[in-house]
Amino acid sequence: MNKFYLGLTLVFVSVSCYAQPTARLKAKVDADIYQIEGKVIEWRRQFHQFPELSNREFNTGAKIAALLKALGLEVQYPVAKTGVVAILKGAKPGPVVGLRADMDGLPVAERNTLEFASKEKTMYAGKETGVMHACGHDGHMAILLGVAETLSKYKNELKGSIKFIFQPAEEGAPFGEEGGAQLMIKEGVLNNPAVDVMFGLHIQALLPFGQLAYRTGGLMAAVDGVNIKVTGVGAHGASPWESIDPIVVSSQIVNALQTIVSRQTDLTAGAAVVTIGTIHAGVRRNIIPEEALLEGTIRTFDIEVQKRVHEQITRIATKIAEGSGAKAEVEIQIMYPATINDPLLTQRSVPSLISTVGKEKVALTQPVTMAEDFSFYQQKVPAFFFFLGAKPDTKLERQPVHHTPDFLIDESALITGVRALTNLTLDYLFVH
Amino acid sequence: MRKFFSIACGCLLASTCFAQMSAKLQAKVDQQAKEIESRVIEWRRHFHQNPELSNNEFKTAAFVAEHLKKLGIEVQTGVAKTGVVGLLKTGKPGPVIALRADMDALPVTERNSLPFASKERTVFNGQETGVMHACGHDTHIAILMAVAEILSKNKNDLKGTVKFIFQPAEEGPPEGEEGGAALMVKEGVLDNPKVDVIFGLHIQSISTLGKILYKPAGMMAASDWFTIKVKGKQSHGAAPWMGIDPVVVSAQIINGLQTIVSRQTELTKEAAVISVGRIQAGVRENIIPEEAFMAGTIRTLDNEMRQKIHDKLKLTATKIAESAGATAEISIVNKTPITYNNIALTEKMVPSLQRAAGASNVNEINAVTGSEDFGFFQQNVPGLFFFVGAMPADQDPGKVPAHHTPDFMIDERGMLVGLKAMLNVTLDFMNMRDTTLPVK
Repeated sequence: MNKFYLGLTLVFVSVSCYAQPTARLKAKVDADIYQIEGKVIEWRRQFHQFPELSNREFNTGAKIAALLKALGLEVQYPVAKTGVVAILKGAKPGPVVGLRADMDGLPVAERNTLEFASKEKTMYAGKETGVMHACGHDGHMAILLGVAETLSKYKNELKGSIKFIFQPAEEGAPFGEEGGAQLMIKEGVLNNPAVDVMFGLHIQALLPFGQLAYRTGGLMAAVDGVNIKVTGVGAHGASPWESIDPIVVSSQIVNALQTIVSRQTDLTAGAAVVTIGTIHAGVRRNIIPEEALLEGTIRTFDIEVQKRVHEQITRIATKIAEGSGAKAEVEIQIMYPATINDPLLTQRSVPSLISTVGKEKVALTQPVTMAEDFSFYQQKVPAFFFFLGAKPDTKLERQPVHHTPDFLIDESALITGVRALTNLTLDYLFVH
Repeated sequence: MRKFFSIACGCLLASTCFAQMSAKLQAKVDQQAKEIESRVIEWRRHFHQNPELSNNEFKTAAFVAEHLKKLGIEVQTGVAKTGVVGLLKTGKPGPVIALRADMDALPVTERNSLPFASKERTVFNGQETGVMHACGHDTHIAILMAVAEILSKNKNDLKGTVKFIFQPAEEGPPEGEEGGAALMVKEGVLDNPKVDVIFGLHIQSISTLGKILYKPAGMMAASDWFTIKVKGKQSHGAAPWMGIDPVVVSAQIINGLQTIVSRQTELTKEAAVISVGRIQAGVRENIIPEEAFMAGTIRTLDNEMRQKIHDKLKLTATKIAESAGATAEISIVNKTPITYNNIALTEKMVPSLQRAAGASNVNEINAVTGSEDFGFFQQNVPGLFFFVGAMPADQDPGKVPAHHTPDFMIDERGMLVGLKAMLNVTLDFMNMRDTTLPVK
């Protein structure tokens, strides 16, 4: 109740005292955006047709750098392998707003029959595969280019600065390479000038067209990896008593791991997921192998929960193995932190979303157990990440999900993305 | 093939050097056995109609003692509560052979419509129940009474000493009491004079009439009882993360215990069984209790395997509990040892059994996971235990009522085979030149 009331007050405040000077500017800018919708869609199609994998966004980066330079922006390229950073400095002093778009495609062979469908092929993990923007990052880049083009025209009327961050490898750098948000930060993307707040969005093929969805606090999960090596004693499959069977021990471990979520985790503090995604052991049906390898993913929304889940996995695997005389080595790989929206920034961002699409189309979303490396920025500066609904108007019974060959978005949602990011930026710069 | 050959050899030897009992004596006792059969049946019916529970075999013991005294046998009563021990001394040098029969009945209400069916009632563990010789111990007593009678009649032809052990409480003494073979051994039944060898039998309603069944080495399983107390942390059923759930941990332990037999036990050596028979935890749907209690039984047929399984059970339960942050307290009680037939003795006595039942009716069987407290005697002296088939002739073998059930029934003709077998093993062993036996 208290929270709700506070939210209303903020809306009221922004509409009355602060918003007045920007209302005219915002209206003008908004009208401008509609003028470039065709361009935004065209950019997206070009990116879609020529997708590039993580840390290999060479043509994509070069194209973006050229477009941004043409706008007269100060451009840094390449950053974090293939990334592009551009700064738009307003005439008047003010805060620094970072806007981020991710650039990489995925090793997925497109099945859509679009004119601009991807025909790209590449080698990935030793196998030939298609390449596809199957997560919508093409849309993100087009949107952010649209924002850059629009706001560049208003340089003289702007306060503060805007940093356009085009980030490679959000899906994860190839094995053995650095990349993504982490590397961008390492290379100083949040400094010179220091970024005060950041905004980012993700297109959602499953969210109704035109909706904007957000959440305070944990929006997307932290993702960590777990590797478990169970070492037993090999033997002939006919005489298990000569062995310590790592397959049976592994299945006991997989079962016992379920109890972390079901029994040992305070799910009111946020959902948690422990998934064993691979299990490999043995070469032949009648040989009890010496070891078994399990790989899994851990999803959490709360740092305390995350820490405890890691400890519990280690304890369970170790002790269950010991219970059979086997040994389990557990390695937890810390990967992406949870995408946690700064509560205060979320509160002041919601009115910008409402001014973009209207109150009815701004939705509170559940947390999602997917992860997003935008969280690395959020660890450093207050930041707000939200979803842009782009569900195509198809009669399909089952909407193709992200990361699949049939993934499809409704392009006419892109303009909403441009408008939302622009409004968030202007509101922050002028209300600050 | 090799085994077969050695048995064949055994037979040949038995008919030459080992079978020392004279043909004349053999014919005489066979005849006497036939003559006494109707009285054996009468005795058995008496016991059947008047069954008494473990450690309460007062009238049964008095009946037995009375019979032995009449035969001029030296009798000790009140051994291990209600046991009776009779000593037949021949005065001639020779081995001390013990023969054992168990005397107790069960808290089962008989459903047979026999004229001598039991109508006895008692209170057992606070519940009113019938009492019934539902395991055939009535036949064991009757057989051993007949053995005593025939042997005492032929005392002058015998050597050494025969000790008749009528044992109470084979089914287990009442809670809190001692009893059975363990107590008899403790009270010295195998000493004064020191027993060299012991023989025992069990009638079987589920085996064909006329058969004698045996197995060298582990024939019936050791029965050990275990309890596992899992201590977790109590919490509301709606907030399991506030506690440590002993119910889920117990379920994991029960699953984990399965792998001891399935993965960790050399089943080609002997079978093994772990059964959790009881699990108790909690009082209400929405309370995660603080602890859970499990109880079960372990059956093994080899002493080394028995020890290994105990160790593995402890390790499995402890570590699985620890994996969830709980603790497990485990207690294992060795209840009954393996009914372990001395291999050399078994080999020596098979010809005697064959003479009693006919060679084709004596069969080696698989081990049985049930247990028998005869193993307590066998822990101390070499012994041989065998089954005597007494399935009622008109029974469908697939539908024979099992031991310990209200419809349990035996064909009384089986007792004659048992009687002859006991007489043969006793007389043959007595007359063996070499009665020393390797420990195993």
